[in-house]
Amino acid sequence: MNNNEEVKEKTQEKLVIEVKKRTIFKSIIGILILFVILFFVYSIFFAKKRTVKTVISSMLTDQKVISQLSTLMIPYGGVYEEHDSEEKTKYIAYRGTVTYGIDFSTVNVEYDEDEKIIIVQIPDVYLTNAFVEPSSLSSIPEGKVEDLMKRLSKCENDLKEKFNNKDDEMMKYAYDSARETLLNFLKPIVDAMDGEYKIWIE
Amino acid sequence: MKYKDIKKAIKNYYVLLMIMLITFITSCNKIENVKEFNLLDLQKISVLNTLSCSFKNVLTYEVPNTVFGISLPSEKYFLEYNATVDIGINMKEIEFDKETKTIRIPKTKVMGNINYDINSMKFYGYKKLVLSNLNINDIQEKLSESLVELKTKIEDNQSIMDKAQSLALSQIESLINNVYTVAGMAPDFNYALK
Repeated sequence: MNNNEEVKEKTQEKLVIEVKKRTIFKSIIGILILFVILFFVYSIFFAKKRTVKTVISSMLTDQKVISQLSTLMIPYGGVYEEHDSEEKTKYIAYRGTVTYGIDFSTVNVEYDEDEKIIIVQIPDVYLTNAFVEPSSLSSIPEGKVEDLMKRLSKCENDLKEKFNNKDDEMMKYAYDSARETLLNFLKPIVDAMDGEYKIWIE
Repeated sequence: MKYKDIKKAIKNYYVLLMIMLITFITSCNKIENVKEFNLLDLQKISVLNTLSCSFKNVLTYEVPNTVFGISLPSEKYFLEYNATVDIGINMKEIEFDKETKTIRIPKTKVMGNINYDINSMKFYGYKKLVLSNLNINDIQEKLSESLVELKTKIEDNQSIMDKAQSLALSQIESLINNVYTVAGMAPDFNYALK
């Protein structure tokens, strides 16, 4: 009987210890989950919005005299296809702007004496600027600044390739716009000349 | 711990786990609207750029570092890049007074975008970035903002603006002189700034 009672007591003690262990384990899990929930609630509702401060310092390194008349601006939203070494395709969306124009210093002026016409000849239209908005790029893996730079470069090249076609309709629009600009600017000046002169832009 | 105990504990808290999971998923799937462009946006412009200035820029990112509201020393990162800025006038704004024969030239501005040289870009602090509070979006957005800031800084620089202005005036005058010279006449215009 004594032995039996001892065994019973020991079993009961073991059970109590087991129950205590379980309670402690549950409490720890509960506290951990509570902490995680608190963290989520804090970060979603109470944490101050993180503000990154920036300061820019600039130094002028060069100045160049140019003479460029930009006549057409096109905002553009593009998608660049990137193929990596494992032959997977990634799509990078970007926004940018391109401008077309002419070299203003090479605008040639001739005169038809018989008809009294001043002929202004417009030089070839070319792509004057291709700009990719840095903040518009998608699909940049977190933490990889090098990837951002590589992809900015690829998107800029993509933009230039898409718009640097001389047969493009855009070149014609840009030419028309250059013609319009020069005509609007020079016509009142030619009209003010003594005599009945005409102007022709080609 | 026995496997059964863990299973039971998970069962007891599964509602909380579900809530956490839903919160996590909803915070991950933020969809942002992207502005769309189409060809209807193309604009005829008349921008005569006369001066191109190159700048070396250093953009400093200062990221506040806090853990549960406790401030820690802030992190600093640097982005170095070269940029070119074209300055000029809007030819549509040139005015001509027939009576006084005066041509009024508008004030010079930074008319287009700032062209940053991607190949010149150097970022300092790259290795740290994996564990830092600075993310790629910050770098992208602040770079775009810095270009706008640079534009304002240049427009505030009177000596650069004056140089571009006098170049604009001489280039306009040169074209008018050509028009008159070919017709065998001498131009007699006055030039003024608007």
